[in-house]
Amino acid sequence: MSITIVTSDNEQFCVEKLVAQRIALIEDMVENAGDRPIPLPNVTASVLRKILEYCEHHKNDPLPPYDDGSRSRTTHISEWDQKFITVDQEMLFEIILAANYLEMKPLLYVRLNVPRVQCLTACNAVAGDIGCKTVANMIKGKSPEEIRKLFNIVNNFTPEEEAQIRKEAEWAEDR
Amino acid sequence: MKGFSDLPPEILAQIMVRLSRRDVLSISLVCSSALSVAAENLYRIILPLPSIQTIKLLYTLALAPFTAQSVRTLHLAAPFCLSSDGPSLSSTGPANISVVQNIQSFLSNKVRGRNPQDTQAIETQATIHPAAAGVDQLFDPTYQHSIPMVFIDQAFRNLTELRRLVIHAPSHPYIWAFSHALPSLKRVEVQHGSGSPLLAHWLTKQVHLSFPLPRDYPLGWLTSGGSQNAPNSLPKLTTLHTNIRGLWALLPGRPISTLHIELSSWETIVAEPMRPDAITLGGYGMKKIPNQVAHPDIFSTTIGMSADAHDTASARYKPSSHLITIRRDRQLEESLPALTRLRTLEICTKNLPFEYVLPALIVNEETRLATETEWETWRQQQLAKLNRWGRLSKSLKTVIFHPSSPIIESQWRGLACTNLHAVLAAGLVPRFLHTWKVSRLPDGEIAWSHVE
Repeated sequence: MSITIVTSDNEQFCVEKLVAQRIALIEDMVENAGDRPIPLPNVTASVLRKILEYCEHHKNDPLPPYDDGSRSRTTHISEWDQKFITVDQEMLFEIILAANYLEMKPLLYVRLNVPRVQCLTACNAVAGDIGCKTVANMIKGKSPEEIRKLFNIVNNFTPEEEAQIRKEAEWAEDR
Repeated sequence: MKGFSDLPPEILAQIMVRLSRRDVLSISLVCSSALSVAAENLYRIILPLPSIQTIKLLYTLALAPFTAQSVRTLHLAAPFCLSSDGPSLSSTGPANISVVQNIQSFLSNKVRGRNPQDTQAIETQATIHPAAAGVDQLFDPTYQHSIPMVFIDQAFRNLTELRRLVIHAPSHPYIWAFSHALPSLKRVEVQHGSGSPLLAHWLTKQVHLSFPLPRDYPLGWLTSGGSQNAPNSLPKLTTLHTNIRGLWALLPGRPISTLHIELSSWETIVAEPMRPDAITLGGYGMKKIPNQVAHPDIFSTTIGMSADAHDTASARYKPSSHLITIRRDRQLEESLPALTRLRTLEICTKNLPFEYVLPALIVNEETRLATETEWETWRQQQLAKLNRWGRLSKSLKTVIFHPSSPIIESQWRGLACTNLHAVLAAGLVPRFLHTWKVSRLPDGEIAWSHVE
């Protein structure tokens, strides 16, 4: 059985239900939509294609165990996931934002009768694990200026504010 | 085009938990939107830090109330002074000079951005605490170069969201001398050897009291004038782990549902909850000693405990062999003959010479010698009491004298444990906390000997 998803740029995707149900938002919309296509106004076709690629690969994965916080602190990425997330920076952040959007379905955990954290972890693996790990790995060891340059961020601190921040954080520096 | 700046705070937070503290620091300097999330991550859990870093942390917490609100768990492992694990003030390197400059700046700018009440509190403490009296005495060597109380006070004042406080090491004697609300604190853990009566005193002042205190509650022990006069706070405190003496001043009526007491022997004890009007503890655990040994024979009393209550407690929990009391000598002496199983008596001392100024006096050899006569007079007075008590209670074996105030005791313990001064180490401890044991001679005479 398959369902149809329409992206923000009006591209239609015919997706196996088992795959689509890895996405919490879609899982919830399927029942209400009936045979109608499911619109995803915040996700473009190129991004959804990547997310579906991820869901297809992981469709038979068991739900991860309850996340007590320790798991999320690692930055290890499996080989397939590493290859999957090797994209340009714009696509990386698009994937993270889209996955974050797609996981926002609080009713899902009720229906599946499993803890919400479990479901969100499973459905949001792209954003929660690979995306964040990738960004974290990009940041590691870089100076503030290097991070700004890397992500094209404008420094909106005045020199005085920056000095104040540095001063306040002195306690954490010399360890 | 989407980029890093478009990430919502919850995603930024997910990224930051995967980074080291140094990397989070770098992010905090990237832009203002990253700063708020980075600060939340950086300050949420603060693990034990060395002294210099602890002082810098307190500086930040004191000056940045919004940042301080991010702290949920705080571990304190340093005595907040410059000399314990690093150079003393006289040999300060650049880092320490920076600390001094920060504190100078804090004191000179302390009015800025504060409400009048806070400012008044800061100035009041600055005048009372010797180390905060002037910039040149900020790290007073008499007090082991401690950070001024004014800083500690303000830092804790800003920790409005602190949930868990873990105390790993004995703090400077004055650290717990302040009192104000920590409205979110739920859990306090005092690691072995890190407690003090002053800490207990601080906790008593923080706890919300919802019951009427007994009429004769021992106000003398609480130098603030009694718990009922102290600001109410820590309403959510439910768990306390401690091994501290003086806890008996903490317990009555406080909403503690679980109490763990760690004891090295069963001589030290707390039993205020055994009073009929005390709140029943939900849990009562002890380490190192089995409950059946320690619990039933623990007993304490106060001025407020009536004779009836005393009898009830005795019948209920077996006759006591250990008594902690602040009864006046006359009241105590009336009770002693009835306490037929009493072995150990702990009592606060009312007339200890130079009790409030001794730490300042004794560091000077000349003044120390001048106090010896006073000490000898006082010692004879104590011996006279001991002889009376020994005759009134045939079972009594040991008497331990405490200073009359937990604050004084805490100060002295703190000074002694830091080995600040050879004179203090050698002479102070036996005087502020001294134990006497009795020998009963065949002819009925008794002889007391001081236990070092």
